[in-house]
Amino acid sequence: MSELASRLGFGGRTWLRWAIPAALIIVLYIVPQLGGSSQFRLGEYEEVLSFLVIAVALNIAMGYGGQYILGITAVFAVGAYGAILATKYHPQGIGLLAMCMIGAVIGGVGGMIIGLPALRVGGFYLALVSLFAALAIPTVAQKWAFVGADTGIPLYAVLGYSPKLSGELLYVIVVSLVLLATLFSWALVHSRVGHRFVALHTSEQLATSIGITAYRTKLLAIGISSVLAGAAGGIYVYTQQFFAPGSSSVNFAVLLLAGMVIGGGGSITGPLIGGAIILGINQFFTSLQQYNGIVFGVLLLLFAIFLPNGLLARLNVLGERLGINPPRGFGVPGGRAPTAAATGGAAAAVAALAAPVNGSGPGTGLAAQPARQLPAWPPVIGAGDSGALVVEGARRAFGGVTAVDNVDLTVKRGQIHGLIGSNGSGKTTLLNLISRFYSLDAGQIRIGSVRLDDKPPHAVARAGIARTFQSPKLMLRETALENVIPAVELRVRCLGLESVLRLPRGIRVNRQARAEALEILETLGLHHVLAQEASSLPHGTRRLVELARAIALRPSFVLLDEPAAGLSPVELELLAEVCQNLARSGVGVLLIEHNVPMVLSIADTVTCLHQGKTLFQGTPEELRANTSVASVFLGLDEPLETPS
Amino acid sequence: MAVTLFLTALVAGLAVGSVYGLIALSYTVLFNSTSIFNIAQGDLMMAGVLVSYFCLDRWHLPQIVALLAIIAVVVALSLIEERVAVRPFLRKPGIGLGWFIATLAFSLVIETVASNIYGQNPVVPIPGALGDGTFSVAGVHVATKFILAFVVMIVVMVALEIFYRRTWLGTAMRGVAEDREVAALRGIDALRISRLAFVIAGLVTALAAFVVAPIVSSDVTVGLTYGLKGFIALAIGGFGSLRGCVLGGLLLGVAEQMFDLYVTSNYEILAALILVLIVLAVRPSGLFGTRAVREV
Amino acid sequence: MSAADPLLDVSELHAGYGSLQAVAGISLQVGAAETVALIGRNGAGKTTSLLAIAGLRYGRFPGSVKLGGADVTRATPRELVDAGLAHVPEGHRIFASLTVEENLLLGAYTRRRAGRKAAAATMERVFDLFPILRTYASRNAGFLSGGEQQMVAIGQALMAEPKVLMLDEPTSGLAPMVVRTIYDVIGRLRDQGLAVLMVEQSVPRALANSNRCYVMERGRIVISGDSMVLAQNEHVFAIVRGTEEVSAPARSG
Repeated sequence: MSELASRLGFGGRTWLRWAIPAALIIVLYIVPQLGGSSQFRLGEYEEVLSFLVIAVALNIAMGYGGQYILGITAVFAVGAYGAILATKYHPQGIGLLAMCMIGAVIGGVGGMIIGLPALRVGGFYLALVSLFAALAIPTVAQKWAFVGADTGIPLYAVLGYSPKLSGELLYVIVVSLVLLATLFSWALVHSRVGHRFVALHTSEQLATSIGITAYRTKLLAIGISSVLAGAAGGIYVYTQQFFAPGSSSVNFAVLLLAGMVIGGGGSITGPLIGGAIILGINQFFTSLQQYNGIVFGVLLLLFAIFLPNGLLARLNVLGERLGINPPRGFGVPGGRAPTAAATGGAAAAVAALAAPVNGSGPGTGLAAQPARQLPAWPPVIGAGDSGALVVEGARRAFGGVTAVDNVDLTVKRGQIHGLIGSNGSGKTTLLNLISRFYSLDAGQIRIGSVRLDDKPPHAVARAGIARTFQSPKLMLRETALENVIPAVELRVRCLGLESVLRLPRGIRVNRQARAEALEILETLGLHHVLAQEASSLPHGTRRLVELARAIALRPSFVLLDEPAAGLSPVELELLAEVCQNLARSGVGVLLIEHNVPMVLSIADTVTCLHQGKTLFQGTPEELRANTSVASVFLGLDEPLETPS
Repeated sequence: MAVTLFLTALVAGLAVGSVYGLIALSYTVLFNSTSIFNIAQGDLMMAGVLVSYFCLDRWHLPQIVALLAIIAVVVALSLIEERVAVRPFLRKPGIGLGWFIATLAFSLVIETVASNIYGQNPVVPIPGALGDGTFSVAGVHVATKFILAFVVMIVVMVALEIFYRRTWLGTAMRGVAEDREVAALRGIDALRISRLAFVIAGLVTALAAFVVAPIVSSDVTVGLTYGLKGFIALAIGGFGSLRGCVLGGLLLGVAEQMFDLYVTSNYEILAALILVLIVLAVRPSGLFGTRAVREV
Repeated sequence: MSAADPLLDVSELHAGYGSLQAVAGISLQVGAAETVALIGRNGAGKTTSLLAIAGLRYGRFPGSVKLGGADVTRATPRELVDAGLAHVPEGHRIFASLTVEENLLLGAYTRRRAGRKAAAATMERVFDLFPILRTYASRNAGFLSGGEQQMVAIGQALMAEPKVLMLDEPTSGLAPMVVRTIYDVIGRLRDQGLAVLMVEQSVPRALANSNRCYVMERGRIVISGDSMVLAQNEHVFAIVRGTEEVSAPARSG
């Protein structure tokens, strides 16, 4: 990190980046000195602090993982009830730590029960079902005598209960717990586990293309989040010595959501800032509490529309201007490229067109390079087999349209197989069939003798097939380097826990993954965009980063979906070299392209599709000489060879 | 005896289910032309109930005036919501759940305003349109307000089906939901259509409020509860289908009453939660589901 | 160029996303009873040009668009339809969950005041052009083949009785028979007086089915002229294939 920092030439005010949060933490510890330290006041601070832990939990699942578990307060409540009930019946044996653990376990279980079915259907369902749970739990508790019904369970009324920690000591411990939770979430997010969350949040297709199991990762995000929220329940119970149905409600869930949106999800500190603001207002400005809903509702609305990235995004921009934060990107006309551009559509096509045409200079992300020597990239994943990628009799229809009709295709290791055809000829559908985004209606896809078409999408990458997309799919808020690392992490393995907790093997593996990703990016001439946010990169560079990601898997086969579109001549040259180098290294390349001359110049064999059927299969020379292909495919009356 | 208990529960279930069905219908109207699920619909209904309370309980106005007042207020709120919370997102490419957060925020504001207007007054019953008598069917007493709710729900469903199949506007709405750009190219103003969808949804919600007010009395806190249960009715019946709304709502209502009768009373809300989890696990698209919600 | 005033007159059109210009100043004209083709490589700006003319703007644009003499540069898509412009975007996009009949009906939405009978009469004329659609009238459009969906899309656009018809790659990915049918229909429409502007990916198809042709490259028009003359011009093929780079301003073949 410091290496990069010096490479990018920092100085000046960057120390403030660490100083400001450090100062805030110190202030947090001495709040009782500033705002009053009566028992009552301390209790209020501690209540807000325990809520902040829920905010941290929500941020992990929602801000990073993209799982809208809005009703996380239900998990909090269930954890809290669990902790307080356990204490009610064993008042002597349970301290703060025990409460947190009990809360964590019960909360975790509760979260999974809600998450499991809702996940099958989609994020939106999770949001509403969890919100309903947040409504149902207090409603049920209100009538259930076992949990004290409406009045709840007061611990101070339990005989034999006397908490060992209290006063300012307790406050300091609680603050430390909140910081610990925050540190944990930071460590999680910057570990292999966190990378998977962000990849999944960005795009399920992106995630599965680098071997991430979507369902399991979503569950993990919800699980970790629930465990943390349940633990927050334990903290709450210990500090307030009380829990009732009114302690958590749907409105409370909305408040937390407001905190996240206002502060800015997708960052570690954003939700804390937003949560502190919202919860602080709610807690300490009680005179107008009945109007809180209006204030928060309006705030939430305004932020959702105008500042969806929250305050933190604004602060970051301010920080950049003041020289505190490193600049996120340079050389793009008009500043940040529109986020929509990388997610497809006409806007993407337009953005692609406007990429600067000249090969070098600022704005392309590519330093002017002489012809480079690319290192070998022999396959690592799927290297055990020596079979080819075989598509046999593939057929797929959508409604009345047969997109792919009885297509045979073989990609041999060490060969470049070009796939051409006009729009709508079925090329991309075929690619998506191999990637298992669609199922075959008939036919087979296999590597050697191992069938692929009955496996889930993430198995494709794990079998050694990497791919790129027509519109580069990158994690836009991550740097170029951080985009490539998750691909390496598919084969450089350790336990998630080791990576998160920075155990020796975890640190080693994290470093190795980073180093390998770095190396590949540097080889492709991208060393000066390493630390730039992907959203600020021009189209051609994004394409190359995506290519680097595919290479980083060290796959046995690479599927490239129209990679040449929008590339400058220099970038095109690099693309061709990369393809040839992959083939030389023993990787099988399937290159879908519109740019027929390019395909003909580097492919070993070419397949031409037309309306889903195979029109031609053979060598480029044979294609050049074949008049019927030319006439059907291009509607030409002459072979593809131009006169003169 | 057991049969009577069962029948009573069934009838009560169908009655409450009609409420859920009406809410689900108003969701579907919006959803079918904007692919947006408006969580504030439940609170809009409750705002209508509040209007009903004022008109009928406080000012003793005739029922028809109350109905018109409800329609006016709810449709107005609907249009405000469209302008303020939804339109900014309809213009953007459909990514993210920003619109959901916006509608949630809007519902929070409505709920708070309503709470403040109503204040600390106790919950009181609201007189029904057909009086507060009961009917006797097969030994079971059915309150007329329940029958009215059920009938109105069926009428609304049929009216909506006719609207979508037989009218220009209804067909255009279905087209806009499918492909806004092609619709625009054919001269169909997608934004105007969305606004109209909000008006129609507001009308349905207003009708719901009118028949629901005597059933829920003047409890202004139940907006989100009904809103969420309306969602569950949709999840069971399947998004995008009018018949799904009705069936989902009725099923939910009956399930709650049966749970109350045969498993344990007081905790019917659990019935809804369990039912939705089962449906999502077994048949995620619902009974008649057709389309997907604008996704994350 | 036809002697009469062009029905569609585009001058110095620019369009882009934000500050990125995909169309950097193009001028073209289409007269009544003529078919004009717009060709070029993928990414040259053809689709964006049509979308900009059709009122679906992508960013600011100086320049002007005139329809039958009237300035429609700032017109909304609805106003353009009323003025007599219809655009069929690429990808045979129709309303999949509606029937063929409902799809066609919506094409006449702007004329709904004239009543269902009038719309039905227009629909009959569409069925005369594409007889196969008559047999599928009550079927959900989503279940038709790609070619049939394209026919629905074109038919839908015709329901508003436009004077200028724009089509973006109307035959890409379709079977040869369907290609023939569609070009026959376009030819017939042209003979009836329609002004047709179409984007075509295949150069020979474009030249064979149009009176005049414009070649676009990187947001500008680089070659234009009579189609029969351009068919002899090697540069045209080379530009579209990408084997030749051109930065010269527009010149007539």
